[in-house]
Amino acid sequence: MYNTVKIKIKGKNVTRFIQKINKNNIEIYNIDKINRNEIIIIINYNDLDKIKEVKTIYEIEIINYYGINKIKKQIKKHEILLFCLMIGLVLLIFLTHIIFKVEVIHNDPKLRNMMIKELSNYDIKPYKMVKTYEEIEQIKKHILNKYQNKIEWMEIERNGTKYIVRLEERIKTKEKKETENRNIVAKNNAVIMEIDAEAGDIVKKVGDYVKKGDIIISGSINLNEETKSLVSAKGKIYGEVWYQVTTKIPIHYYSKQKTNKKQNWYYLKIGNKNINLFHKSYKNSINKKQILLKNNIIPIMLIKEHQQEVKIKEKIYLDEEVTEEAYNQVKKEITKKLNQNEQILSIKKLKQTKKDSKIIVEFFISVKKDITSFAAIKEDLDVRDNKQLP
Amino acid sequence: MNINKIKNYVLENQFKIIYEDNKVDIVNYQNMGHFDDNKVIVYYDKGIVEIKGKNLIIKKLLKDEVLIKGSIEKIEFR
Repeated sequence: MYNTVKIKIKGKNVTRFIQKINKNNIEIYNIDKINRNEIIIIINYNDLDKIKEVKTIYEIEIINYYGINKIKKQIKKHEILLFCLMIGLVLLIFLTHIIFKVEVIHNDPKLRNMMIKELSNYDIKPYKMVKTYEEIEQIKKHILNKYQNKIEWMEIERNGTKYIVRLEERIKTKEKKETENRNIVAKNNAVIMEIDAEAGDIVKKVGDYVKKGDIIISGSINLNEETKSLVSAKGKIYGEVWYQVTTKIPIHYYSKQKTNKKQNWYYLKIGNKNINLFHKSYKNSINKKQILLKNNIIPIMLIKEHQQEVKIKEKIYLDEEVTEEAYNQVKKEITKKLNQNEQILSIKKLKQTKKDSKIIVEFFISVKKDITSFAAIKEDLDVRDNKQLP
Repeated sequence: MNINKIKNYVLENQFKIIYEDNKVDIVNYQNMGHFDDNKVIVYYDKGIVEIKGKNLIIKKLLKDEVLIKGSIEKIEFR
């Protein structure tokens, strides 16, 4: 209903007044006659002044307003309550963005205290404002870089007005003493491609086939078939090793690829319905959800979702495409495992079969690989005797 | 004549009187003559409409429309 007003007109023979109103081009939307001298009518709010001008002996009483005027009147009537509600809401939002507690979860009190101190440098401490997702990620990165020898992993999780920090301490493995007497042996069955010896006696040559565990650089220094002394053999051996690799390619391929687009999506969750607040959600994305406001009585939640947009890639492979895809996958996987001096020598396809909705491709791969491994020398009695001799 | 018909059709300014279930709706009247509990007189471009009955009430009174309710006994065109 538009801006209308319900008024009561009192006076002698009100029907005459109605005629007067009609002559003044005032529209009456509803007339309820109470008795001969009383009538209730609904007119446009703008016509109220005109009626007051022509009313003469008649009494006019406003009973109710409709439309925007009613809302205005209601707001004016309850302005203190509404003001308090607004202040309360602002205060609630403000308080939910304040940190009240920081809890570090770890057994070591020293590490806990160190972390609390470190976090306070980044203003993650009680009575400070909460941080955004990007800020938290940055802080985590800085702390992990600074304490890379002490901390293996950390997670800062916000739970309402509390930050929970989970830590994983880096446990240092004691470096093996390189001083013990040892041989350099083959790590795998291989054909030796390169021998780079620093200490010890080379017992194999380039091109030799060695089995796993065969000595390549010996720590026993022999003279005339007699062991004169024992040393810690040092060096690097590269050899040609072979693998038989099987890879399965689904005929129907489905993958998610991250784009550069990121956003924080805020929405209200009322029951099962989501109402966007600022932006729309990405169509496909990887999400990290954070509940900002939750009410236990009413099923309303204010949720922030950090979204990383992803592109969905779907493909149905043809038979001829499978070999190429499998070849690339295998090459990629093997390359990942190789270090700087290692390399793939050749990749040959052995077999290609189809099973269920997958194509199985078998490859024979030849790789130049570090085959250096160490084996401690067990000193026998003779050697010990020799050592004891001057 | 034809132009007047088209004009009336487009602008909808033709006088109409609709009676339904003790209600009389008069559209495009000129002015109200008289009304009380037993009689309502309405002027239109070609004459007068007199509605007679008991407990007659004008329920709606707009510039171009009037709605009369009550126990309607007679509608007279003069």
